[in-house]
Amino acid sequence: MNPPPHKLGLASSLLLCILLSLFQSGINYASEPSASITLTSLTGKTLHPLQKQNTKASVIIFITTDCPIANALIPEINRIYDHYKTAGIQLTLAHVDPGLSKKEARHHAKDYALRPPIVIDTQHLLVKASQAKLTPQCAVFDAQGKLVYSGRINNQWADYGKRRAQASEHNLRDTLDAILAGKKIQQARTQAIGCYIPNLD
Amino acid sequence: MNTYASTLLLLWISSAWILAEPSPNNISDPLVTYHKHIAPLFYEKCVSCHRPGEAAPFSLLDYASAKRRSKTIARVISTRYMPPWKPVTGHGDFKQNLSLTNPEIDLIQTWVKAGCPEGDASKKTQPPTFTKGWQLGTPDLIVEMQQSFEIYAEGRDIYRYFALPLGLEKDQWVRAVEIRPSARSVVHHALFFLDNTGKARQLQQKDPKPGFNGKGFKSTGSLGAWAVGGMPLALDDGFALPLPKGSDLVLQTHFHPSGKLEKEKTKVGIYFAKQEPKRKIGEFQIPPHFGAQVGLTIAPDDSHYVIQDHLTVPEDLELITVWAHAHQIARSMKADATLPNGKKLPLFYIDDWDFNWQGQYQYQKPVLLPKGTRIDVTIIYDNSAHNINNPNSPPQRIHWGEASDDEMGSIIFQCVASDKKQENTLARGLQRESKKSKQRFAKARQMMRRLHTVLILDKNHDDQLSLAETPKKHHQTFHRLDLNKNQIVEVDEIKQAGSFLDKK
Repeated sequence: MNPPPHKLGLASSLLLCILLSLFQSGINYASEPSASITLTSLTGKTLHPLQKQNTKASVIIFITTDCPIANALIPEINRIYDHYKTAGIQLTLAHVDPGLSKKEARHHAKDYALRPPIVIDTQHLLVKASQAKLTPQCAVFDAQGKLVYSGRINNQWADYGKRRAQASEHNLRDTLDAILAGKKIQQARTQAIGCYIPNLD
Repeated sequence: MNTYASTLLLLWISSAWILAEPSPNNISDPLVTYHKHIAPLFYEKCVSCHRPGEAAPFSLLDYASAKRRSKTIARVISTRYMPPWKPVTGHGDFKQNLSLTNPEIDLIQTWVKAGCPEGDASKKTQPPTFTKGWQLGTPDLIVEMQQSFEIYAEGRDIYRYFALPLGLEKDQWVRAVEIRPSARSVVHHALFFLDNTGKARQLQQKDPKPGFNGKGFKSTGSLGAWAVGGMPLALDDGFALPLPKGSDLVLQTHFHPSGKLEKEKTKVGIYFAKQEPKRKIGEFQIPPHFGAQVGLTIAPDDSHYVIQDHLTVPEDLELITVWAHAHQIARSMKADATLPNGKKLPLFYIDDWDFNWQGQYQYQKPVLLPKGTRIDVTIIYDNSAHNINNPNSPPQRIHWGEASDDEMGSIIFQCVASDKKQENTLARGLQRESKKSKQRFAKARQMMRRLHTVLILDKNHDDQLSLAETPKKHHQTFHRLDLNKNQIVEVDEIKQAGSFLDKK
């Protein structure tokens, strides 16, 4: 016997809801409030790391002062920043340790000669918007505010203590080049290797 | 409920409570806490490095620090990346083994999964007290690099030699060497060589930067090695290493660029034995001279290149320490003894060789090997693109050599004669064994050359020679080589005919 029409309607709308939620979690649209995240940089500037105006893409790279893999990649982070800053790519470094003082962060920035703007993501607003799990994971948002890439900067580290002499895949650069060339991004997700981002207490 | 029944119930609850006390064997218990279970473990196995001023990137001395890194800790202990300990369990019992047991790993994982409960802070274990400065007390001799060496922020690892004049006017005996790097986060390991020829100093003077690259240097002795994670270790009473007067200490230091510019000016402390040791320490390598005679040449993409050598113990001896040395594409290094009664005794095994973690391992108790014991060493290399440590992309042929992109390999033992009277006989016997090994490899190399000469004619590269491929003037030789008369000379036939070719 066929179910009454109204029951079928309920069942199919439930199914639609489930499918929609699956679909939504699958493509990971950054919700609108992400674009309005406002943080103050270490130099006192007001930053909108995920703003959509005047940018072709926004990049967040998550760091801590003591993650050896994140620190070792700083020279490459500086080069990426220099290379893409005039091409309409906004890159921000986000410290994920909520207890970090500005003084400690400034000391680290000076020690490693960091060039991109740096914020301390005390409430993990950027961590949540990027669904980041590790440092130095990076997240790329396109001009529509959509999270289009999340993962490693490159594949120099294959695992803890397993470092290639040179990276053979440059995932962040490839993503940014694809965006600038209006091409399809080849890999939307990769596995970063590094230090786990601690939960907020 | 009557009193008897309630007492029984109470007893049952309390015994159940005692039974439920978390222990490494009872990992399902939710009551694994930091202060009761985790801190003592971290204090025992981790904080020799994970404390302020040491090489590790963060401290594990307090709850907040441990909790903040808990997920990373759970991951690095599961792969046994931390604590760093390379020898495989069951292949030699060594001092200073900081590795975690499986139940200890499970205990930490349980704690992390439960959200890192802190437990009762009033019952916390006090962190160990650490000796400041030199760990073995004030050294008898302290030397320091004359100039700082600069380590770039990024790039390949650096292997640099530094000659440090010791200014010794009389022979000494050394029971320990301690190293105090100034940039602890970038100094990964150091080998302590000796040079009494002045060659290292000359090479250093010629180099515009502090130190030298090691080319052209041959050590005249060794005082062991140190790797990050290892504490300075003094030899047991009665043992010491010779340090002839006029020797320079030559450090071979491995630097890991950290992301920022660093400057290193190492201090080394040397501890002398009060008197000449009663027993002389000897050293032997299998294969000898880091495999220089092996004829090592590894084709690109060869993922399983094996070298093997053996040594027969010439007099009863006791092994004191062992270390292994190879470069980047070695995958495993293994030494096994077969005693004269046929009993097998595993001596040393690293199944996941990592150039970054090479240290010297001291046996808990000296290992007695009777005269006639055979020690077999197998070293396996992987020159494929799958080997993450391959210095070349795409893989290139790798030969024996001193540069870190070349390869070498041997397992090095320090030993004493069981009977002091046999010390010299043992030393001579070990030299004889080393000579025998060289002869074995020379024969093997000759065979390789012979094969190469014959197979040069192998135009279709099928690793055998047909009559058609052989020039007419060699047909007579061809027929003499073709033992099974199938009109094809196979590799085995060339090997069998070795003596014939030698005569030719």
